[in-house]
This record gives sequence, structure tokens and C-alpha cells, in this order.
Amino acid sequence: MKKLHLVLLGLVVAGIIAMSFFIKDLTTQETFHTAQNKKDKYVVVKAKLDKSAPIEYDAVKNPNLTVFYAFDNDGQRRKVVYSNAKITDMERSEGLDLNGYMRDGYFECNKIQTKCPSKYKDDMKQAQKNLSNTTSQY
Amino acid sequence: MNYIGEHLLPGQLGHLFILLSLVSSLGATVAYFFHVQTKSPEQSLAWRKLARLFFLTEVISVFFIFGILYYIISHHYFEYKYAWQHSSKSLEPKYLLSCFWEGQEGSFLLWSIWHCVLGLLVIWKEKQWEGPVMAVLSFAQFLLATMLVGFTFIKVGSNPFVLLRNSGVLDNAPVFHDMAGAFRQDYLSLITDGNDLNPLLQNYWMVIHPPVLFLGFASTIIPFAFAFGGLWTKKYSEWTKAALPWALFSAAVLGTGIMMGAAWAYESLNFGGYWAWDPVENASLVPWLVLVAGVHTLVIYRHTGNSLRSTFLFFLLSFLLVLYSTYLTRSGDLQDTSVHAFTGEGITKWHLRFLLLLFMVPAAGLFIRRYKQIPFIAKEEEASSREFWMFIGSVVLFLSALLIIAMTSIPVFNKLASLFTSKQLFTPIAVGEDAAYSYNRIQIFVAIIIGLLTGTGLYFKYRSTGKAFLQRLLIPALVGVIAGAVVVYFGDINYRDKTAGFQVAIWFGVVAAVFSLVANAGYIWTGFKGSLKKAGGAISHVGFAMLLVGILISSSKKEVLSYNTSGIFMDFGKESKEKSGENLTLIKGVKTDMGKFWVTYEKDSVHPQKPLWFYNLKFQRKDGKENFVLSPNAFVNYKNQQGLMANPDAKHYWTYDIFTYITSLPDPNKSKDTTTFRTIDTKIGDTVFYSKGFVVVEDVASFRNIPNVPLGANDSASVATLKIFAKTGSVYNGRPILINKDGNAFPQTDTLTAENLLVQLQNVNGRKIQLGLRESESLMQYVTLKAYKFPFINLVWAGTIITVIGFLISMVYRRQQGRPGGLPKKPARREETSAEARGDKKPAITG
Repeated sequence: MKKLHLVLLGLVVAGIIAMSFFIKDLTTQETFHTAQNKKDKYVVVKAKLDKSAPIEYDAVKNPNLTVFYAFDNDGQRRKVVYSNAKITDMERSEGLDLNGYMRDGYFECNKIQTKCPSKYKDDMKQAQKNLSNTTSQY
Repeated sequence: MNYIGEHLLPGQLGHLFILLSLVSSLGATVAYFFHVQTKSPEQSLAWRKLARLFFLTEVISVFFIFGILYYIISHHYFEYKYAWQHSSKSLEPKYLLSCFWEGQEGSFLLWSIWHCVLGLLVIWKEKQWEGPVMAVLSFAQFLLATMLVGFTFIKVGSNPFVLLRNSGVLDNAPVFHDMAGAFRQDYLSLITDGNDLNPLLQNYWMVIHPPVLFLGFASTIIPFAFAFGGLWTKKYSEWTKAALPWALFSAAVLGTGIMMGAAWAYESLNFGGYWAWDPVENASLVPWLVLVAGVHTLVIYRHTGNSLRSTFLFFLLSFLLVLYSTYLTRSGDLQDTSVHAFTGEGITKWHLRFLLLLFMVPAAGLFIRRYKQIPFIAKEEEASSREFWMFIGSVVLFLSALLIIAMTSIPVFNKLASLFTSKQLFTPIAVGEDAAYSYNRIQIFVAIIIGLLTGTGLYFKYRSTGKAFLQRLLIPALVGVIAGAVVVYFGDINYRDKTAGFQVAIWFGVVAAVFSLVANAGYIWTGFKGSLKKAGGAISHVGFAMLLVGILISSSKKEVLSYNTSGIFMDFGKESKEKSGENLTLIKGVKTDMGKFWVTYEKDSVHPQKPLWFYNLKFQRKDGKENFVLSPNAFVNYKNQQGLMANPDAKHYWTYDIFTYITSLPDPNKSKDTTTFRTIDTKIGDTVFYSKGFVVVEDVASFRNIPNVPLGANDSASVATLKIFAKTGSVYNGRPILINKDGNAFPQTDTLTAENLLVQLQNVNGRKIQLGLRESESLMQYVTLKAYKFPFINLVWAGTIITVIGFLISMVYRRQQGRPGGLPKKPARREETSAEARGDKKPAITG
């Protein structure tokens, strides 16, 4: 066996080890219900904002706390506590990926990915909505 | 039916040129194919003539498409959907070009244009390899053209010249239809403006970053096409000489494009840094890494005859990875995981998948079939040879790229897995809690290895290196390691929130990078005797080492300045790792404690034409040594986009930046104030409390002279003198007035915005008075911000620039080397001749 092959083999093994570390770190997408059973595990819950309830955020009292309610894919509603400033487009979001831990009675969340229609200007529905801003009669 | 005010000619011309481009690129592909395949020289030349004609037609068509679209956008012809959707009348002229890359169609058009430019260069410069390279390039042009055709019967592509009234946008809007439900002839008069460009793109980096990045993407097809052509024509080694400068060019441009994107992210996005391991960023980095690996193996081959097979692999892969990245970022499949995801609309996912497959299948098929025929050297490389270590370095880059792309492809993996398994068996996976860390802790080892290899590589000679030669490494190594250790020790480089192992790895990384910097800089003098034009490789290594040092230090020492020092903390429980918040609220006019600074939100101003607000924040060092003002800005309620889009502002120093941006502003919808005045009976000398302090009633006096208010005999006016002591330590004066006129009381409210407080004098009866207090949320003017300190960010930018310069110097040097009558081949003569010679000499090669 060539020296080079040995080194390459070593590198590949190192790569596999690195990958396994990464895989170990991976988490899963859950619903509020399934997350309940994995309380100490960092999970991702795909959810929708409950637009009927207000988003509580008071920058003066605490700029690092946002509280709102969300429905997961099964339609379950939970309180969500987000330890950061309110995401600006949140009210208009079509979906939220909540990253965090399920606690008793609420979901503690430190990272949120929002699906916002504003990002997708090519979307037909959004284009129709935007129409009202660019026309004289509406 | 005619509609009033439409300009239909540009669109019709545009359609024509799109069709022409589709046909001519297909023609060029076919003609170039036969040019390569035909044995008879005359016929082959005839095919080439035809192919060039087709390609020229293609170039003209693409430039016309671009020109017409620009004409439509710049003239605000909103009857065209593209203009309506991506521009507006108020858009500044310098951003008109940016409209191209906001939409999918424009982006692909830009890509296509660069292919045209590169194709013309290839025809001009690469006579020998024109056929195969241009066949591949024309085929790519054909596929890009299909993106723009927008056939309606089966949805293929998306036409940038589609009319707004045909696009479906107006269909459900009753305004545009008359009583009978027919579309109004004068519909255009109702459309007063376009949708405008996304404000995030209204930034100078966004004017130059996409064209450069796209040139980088587009140029990766040239090394790919050379390699593909080599396999196709079975001339396995001849293409390498011509391909090297192209590959170097591509690496330089793509590298610049990626880092310009980083600069844009740093200056105008607010994910708090220049790199976030975002899928879109990864998708552009990975092809670059593979391309750079390919450049190194190609250099090895040019000098020793080794590593030709891996060169094929890397060049083929780097372009395929560009296509894969395009699919990832533009199909919408990444929408869940990326900050700047693109849409999946317009150009379909399947179209992008086909684009990838149509290149991948032939390339992979040819590579596998011809693999055995590709010459290689059976003899083992010596461990003291340069090629040995260079090759390892290339493999490390390649593995690093593989890991990154695998990690980025999780959504694709989820998609595939869900196709084959049921929901019960498979839970979709997601990246864990600290995404950046999961990349960093793997890539730090890549950084260490690359640092060491780039530092030592040039000190080895090809084939084998004598001991005496290696001793030259001793001094740079010693100096480098000591310098690195000094940086680590005095630089206080810490990642305290991570594991000790990671911390130590970072230290090693810094030492390796500093060593590489010193060693390569040294080699420019000792190895190249200061001749910069030959030293491209060493210069690139210096730059890259500097970039590594910059990355390691700037992210290790990134400090949050805006730790919340006031406010109520949520108790997240004992197990929670939650840090105190990084957002800090500044109330207008109130000096707030922020680490080493006092910060005051002084005032704000608005851009004359757009709802772009600037917030002046005064930073005062607590030691009194420095004052400065930062003005982060934000689009507030831009067009129909509710909320704010914030742009950061930074104060630059040589060794660090202070960087801040707005995260939240008062919600204007909240201004419907429901609080009312609370009436309090008190008397002079008494103290009244409110939620954030107390009010002392100092005096009440009556007076008769009020400007513009004539007072009658029974009328009176009183003024109270109040001292308001806020919790923050500030003291304010209040002077509410009460006017009694014609038997009615008119209290004149005094407002104290800094404290959110309204005070009224409601009744005076001798020394007894009634005070009204109201605390209102809507009064308050404040901004919530995040602030960071980034040390040594300038090393990142400087390192990038030097790396790119190194690539370009190499490119020029290699190009001159390849030219008859160009530079003498002396410096690398022994190695230089070997590649071709070995390629032809069969005995050296075993099958």
C-alpha cells in the first residue's frame, strides 16, 4: 500500500468521524405532542402563528422576550416563549419553524425561521396583494 | 383588442430574440458536436464555421434580450410584469441593474450573458480546444435559454417579457374589468407604479456582488468543458495547459463573488456577521473549494504527471456542484433553512433538476467509461515531494467541501427519504441547536491542516526534496510558530462558551495560519527571489492564511456589546443555557449603560424620498476618550411590507469594528392609547409616585398674562412647578397649566416624553391641588438594538483581496508560459516538459 493511500485513508476516516459528530448533533422535526416526550431534547416544530392572539412584546420592559401562541401541524395550540426581539414580519408569516425545547405548558424557543410571503415576490398570490399599492383605484 | 398606452414592440422583439437564442444555441451545440466528431478536416472546418455563426447569433440575441429588458425596466413600462414586479418609478438609476437579479429570469439571463462573453474569449484564444469547449458551453446556453422561453402549453421556463395583463396578476382584481366583466382598455392608466426592488437589494454591494458571483459560477463551465472535452476526444492530457489559466480565473472570480456576498451580509443584513454557514453561502463556497482542489491537482499534473484523474474529477464536479447549488437555492426546497431563500415559483424545480441531470449523466458516464484510459503514474510519490503534500491538501479541501454540502443538503435528504419511507418510520431531521458550531468544529481541523500544508508546501520540491533544501523551512517555521503563539497568548483568543478541545483546536488553527502567512511571505523572497509575477501561488497562500487568521480571531473575539442591563428577565429554569438577552432598548434622550459605552438615542431623520429612517446613536466611551455617532437605518413599513428592514452601521477601526443594528421599534398600531389620567389629591411640598419615579410638587402660582388667551374678570390661570425624579437618576421639570375661563377648566398637559409621562393640573384650591398623571406607551420613542464588536475583520477583507490577486498573477503567468515566444520556461523547465512528454511516452504509464 502506498504512503499516500494510507494518508488518504486516514483523512477519509477523519471525515467519517467528523460526519458522525454532525449526525449525532442532528435533531428531528416534531410536533408539540411528540416534543412533550423529549423534554430535554432540542427539537424543531413546524408551526403556524395563532393570529387571533396578540404577540406580546414590550421592548421597554424586556427587549429579549416575545410570547405568542402557535398551532403545530396537528393543530395543537401552545404558548411559545422566544428569548429574543420580536421578528418583524411575524404577523404576516405563513409558517414558523420553532427551534427549542418543550417545557411544561410552553415551548421555549431560541431560534425561529419564518416563512414570509414578502420573501417570495414571485408568488402569484403575493403579487395580487401587492397590486393594491401600485394602482390608483383601491 | 388594443389597450391604451401599451408599448408592445419591445416585448415582441424580446420574444423573437428569446426564440432566436433558443434555436441558435441548439444549432451551435449540434454544429460544434459535428465539428469535433467529423474526421474529414474540410467538413470539420465547415461545421466550425456554421457553429461560430450560430454562436454569434446566440450572443447577439442574448445581448438584445438583456438590452430590451433593461429598456423596459428603465422606461418603467409597467405593462410588462418584470418591470412592474421588480422596479418602481422612484428607484434610483444605479439600482436599475439590480432588478435583473431580483427575479429568476434576470438571474439566468445574467448567467447566460457571461457564458456569451466567455464563449467569445474561448473562440478567440483557444483555437485548439474551441470545438469541445464550445459544444459544452453552447449546450449550457441552450438549457439556460429554455429557462426563458415560457411556453404555455407545457410550462417550460418563465418569460421575462410576459405582459402584466397576461400574467394572471390582474385577473381577480375587479377594478380592471368593466361592468360586463371584460378587461378594461385603459387598465394601464390605473397602474401608477411598480412593486419596487426589495429594499435589501438597494445596497451598493448588491449592484456588484451578483454580477461577479455569476461570472464566477459561469466561468466554472470552462474547466469543466476542457475536462469533458479531454475525455470526449480522448486527448487526456493536452487540454491541461490551456485549462489552467481558466481555472485560476474562475477561482479568483468566484472567490471574489463569495466574499463580496459576505461583505454585503456584513454591511446590510443583520445576521450579525459576514458568514453564517447559511445554505446559500455554502452552496457557493463548495464549488469553489472543489475548484481550488482541482487547480492544485492540475498544477501537480503539469509538473509531474501525477493526479490527472483527480483533476478530471474535481473540474467536472465543481461545475456540477454549481448546478446542484443552483437547484438547492433556487428551487425553493431550501426555504425552511435559509435566511435568503429564493422562490420556487417561475422556474420549476423539475427544470432545475433536469439542468443538473443533463450535465451530470454524460459527465459521470464519460468519466467512468474512460477512467481506465486516463494516464497515471504507477510509481509512488515520495513523501518528501511537493506533489505528495499538495495532493493531500487538495483531498482535504475536497473532503471539506463534501462535508459542507452533505450538511447543507439535509432538506433534500428529507425530501428523498419521505419518498421512500412512511411518515411513521421516518421523522424529518434538522440541524441541531448550534448550527454554526457544528460546521466550525469540523472545519477548524481543515483550517489547521490547510494552514500547515500551505505553509510547508512550497518549501518542498517536486519529486523529492533534499534535506538541505528543507532546512530553508526552519527559520520561517520557527518565526511563524512563535508569532502564532504570541498572537494566541496576547490576543486572548477564546471560545469560552464552547468545549476546551475546540478552544485548543482554535489555538492550533491560529498558529498554523500565522505560520503559513510567515512561511509563504518568506518564500516569496527566498524561493522566488522577490519576483512577484512568478509568486502567484505564494501570494495566494499568504492571502488565504491572512483570511484564516481573520476568520478565527474575528469570530472568537466577537463580543456582544448590547447585553441587556435593564429590564425583567424571564426565568427559563435551571437547565436552560439561556444567556441574558442581546437586545437592548434605548429610550430617546436617555443615556443608557452599554458595556464600555454610554449610548444615547439622540434623534432620527428620514430619507427625503423613501421611508428609510436613520437613528442617530451617540456612543461615549466611559473612560471619556472617545465619542462617536452611529446611524443604523431601517426601512419602516416599506410599501406594503409591514415592520422594519434594518441595515447596520459600523464604526471601523484598524483592529476592530463596532457594529450595530436596530432590532425593534415602537409598533405604530399600538398607539391607540387606552390609558387615562389618574387624578391625585395632593398639596404643595408633597410627593406623588408614578411607575418609574416620583413627582415633587414644588409650587403653584397664578398668573394673568397668557399670550393669545384674553382672560376675563372671573377667569384665572395657574401653573404648577414640578420636579420629576426618574428612577434612571435623571431629574426633569414639569410646568402644567390650568386655565379657568367662563366657568370651564382647561388643563394644559405637560408632556415628558423621556418618561412616558403626561401631567395635568386639574384643580387648584389654595395649597391643595389635584394632579392628573398619565403614563402612556405611545409617547415613548425608543429603539431596540443589537451591538457587536468585531475584532480584526479587516484581516478577512485584506486576506481575500490578496488571495484573489495571487490567483490572477498565477493566471497571467501560466498563460504567458503557454504562449509560444512568451515567458521563458526556465524556472520550471524540468517539470514543465514532463507532463506532455510523459503523456505521450507510453512506457512511463501503465494501464
